[in-house]
Amino acid sequence: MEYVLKTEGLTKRYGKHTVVDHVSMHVRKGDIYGFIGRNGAGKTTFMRMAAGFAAPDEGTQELFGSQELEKQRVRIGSLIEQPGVYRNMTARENIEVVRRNLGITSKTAVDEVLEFVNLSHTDKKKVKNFSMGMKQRLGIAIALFSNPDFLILDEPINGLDPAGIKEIRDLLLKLNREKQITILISSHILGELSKIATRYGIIRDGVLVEEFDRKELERRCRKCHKLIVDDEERTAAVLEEKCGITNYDIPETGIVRVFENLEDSWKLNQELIQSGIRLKESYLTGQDLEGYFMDLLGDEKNA
Amino acid sequence: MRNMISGEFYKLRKSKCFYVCILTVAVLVLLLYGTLAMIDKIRTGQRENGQNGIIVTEEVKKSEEPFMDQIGIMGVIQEMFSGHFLDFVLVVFISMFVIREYTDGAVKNIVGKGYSREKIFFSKLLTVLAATVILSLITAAVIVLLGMIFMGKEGLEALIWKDVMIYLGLQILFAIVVTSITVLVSELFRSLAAGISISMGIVIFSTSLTAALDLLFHRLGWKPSRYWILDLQTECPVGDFKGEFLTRGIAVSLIWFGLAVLAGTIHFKRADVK
Repeated sequence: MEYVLKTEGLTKRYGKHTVVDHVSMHVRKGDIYGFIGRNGAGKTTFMRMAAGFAAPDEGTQELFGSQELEKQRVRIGSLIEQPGVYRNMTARENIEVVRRNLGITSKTAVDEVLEFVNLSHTDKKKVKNFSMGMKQRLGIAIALFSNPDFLILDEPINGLDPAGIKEIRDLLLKLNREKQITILISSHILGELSKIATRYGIIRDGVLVEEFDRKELERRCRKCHKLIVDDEERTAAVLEEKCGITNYDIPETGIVRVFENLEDSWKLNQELIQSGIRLKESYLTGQDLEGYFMDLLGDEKNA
Repeated sequence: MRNMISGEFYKLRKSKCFYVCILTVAVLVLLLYGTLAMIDKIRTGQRENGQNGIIVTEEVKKSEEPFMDQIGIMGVIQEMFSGHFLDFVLVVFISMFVIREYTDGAVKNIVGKGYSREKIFFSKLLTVLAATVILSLITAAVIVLLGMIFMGKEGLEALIWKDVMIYLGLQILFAIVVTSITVLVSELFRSLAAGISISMGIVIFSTSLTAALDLLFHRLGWKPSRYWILDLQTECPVGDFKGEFLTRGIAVSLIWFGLAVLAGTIHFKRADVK
C-alpha cells in the first residue's frame, strides 16, 4: 500500500495539555481523507504538524514514503485555518508573491490557477473586499499553485453558503479525479464531507479513535429491517426457507437485521407471525452518517 | 533565497504602508521647515508670537542671524535622525510589514516549501533592512531638497558633504540595528498592537532607562548609555568625528545587531507557525 502520509505516535503538547496524543494516521495515495472531530479535538494541530508549521513532541512522520520531510513538503499544498492572503493585494498579486517565492518562472501559471478556481474575473478588487467563498478559493489557489500531490485542507467550507460549498466540493472532486491529488480534509459539515471522502479518521480528545473507508461506513450505516424476536435461530430459518432472504445478520441475541427486500417488510412480518415466532418489535431503521459520527465522537462531556 | 527575496521585494513594492511612511517623513520634514520659517517670521514681527502654537523665546528673538540659517540643513538632518523621528516611522512600518505575515497567515505559504526557516527569516530581515536604508536615504534627500527650497543655494553650500555622509552612514547603521530589534520584537509577539507599542516604548523610554542606569552606576564610573543604540543615535556628532565614537558606534551596533538577529532566528526556527 502506497501512503502519502503515515504517522506513528504523533504527539503534541502545550504545557501539560496533550493536544494530539499518539496519533497514527494512514492516508493512502488517491484518498480523500475526511478528518473528523469536535472543536479542540486536535485536528488543526495535527494538520499543522503534517504541513510543517508545528513540530511534534513525539512520534514520527513519513511523507510519500520518505522521512526527509523538508524535501517532501514541497509536494504539499495546504489551507489550514484561514487562507494566508494579503488583504490589501488583489488575487493576482497574492499569487504573484507565491510565484516569486517558489521560483516558478512561468507567468501564465498565475492566470491558469486563477482560472481554475474561477477568480480570473476579480481584476483589481482587493482581497479585503472578497466574499468568504472567494477568499477560500484564493486560499485553495495558493495551495494548488505549486502543483502539489497532497492537499491538506482544514475546514475549507467553513462559513460558505450552499452554493459556495458545492463549488468547493466540485473543485476538490475534480482535483482528486483529474489531477490525482490526495486530500486530507477536515470539516464540521459531516454530510458534506461524506459526499466526497473515501476514507475517514475520527479524532477525539487528541486520540485517533478509528480509521475506516467509505465502504465500511456505508456498511455500518446501511438501512435495515430490525426484528426483535423470541428465537433468532428459528427466525433465520424462516427468512431463508420461506422468504428466500440471505442478506441478514444476528448482532445479538433476540435481534435480527435484514438488509434486503426492505420495501416488502410487511410480508416478512406476516410470514414470521404465521410461523409462530413471537415478533416483539419490527421496524425499518438505519443510522444517518451524522448520527453515526456523533456516536463515535462521544457525548457532550468529550467536547 | 533569491526567490524569497524577489517575493519580499514585490510585497514591499506593493505595500501601501511603505509609501504612506515615506509621505509621513516628507510631511514631518516639511512641518519642521515650516516651523523654522514661522519662527523667523515671529522674530521679524511679521507674525504674532504664539501664532499656530509656536512660542519664540526672547533669547532666540535677540539673535541677529535668521533662525533657519542657524539650524541649517544639517540641523534638520540631525533633528530627524538623532531626534528619533525616523525611528517612529520605521517602527510602525516594520512592525506592520513583519507582523502582518502572521496576522494574515501568509507566512504559511512559504514555511514548509523546501526552504529552511533560517533562510525564510533572513529573506524577510534583508527586505526590511533594505527598506530602512531606502527610507533613510529618502528622508535625507527630502531634507536637502526642501532645504534648498526654504534656504536657497546658501543652505546647500553651507553643508560639509563629507560630514553629511559620515553622519548619515552612522545613522543608517544605527537605524539598521533599531530595525533588527523591531523585527525581533515583532517576531516574538506576532501581534500588531503589542509589537508596535513595545517597539515604540523602546524608542521613547529606553534612553530614560539608560539615563537612570548611568546614575546608578555613576560611582563605578560606568555609563550604560554609551552602549545603547538609541543613545548613540542622539549622541552622534554632526562633524569632527572622533575615532573613539566611530569605533564604539560601529562595535556596539554590530553587537546589538548580532544579538537581535540571533535571537530572532532561533525563535523563528523553533516557534510554531499559526
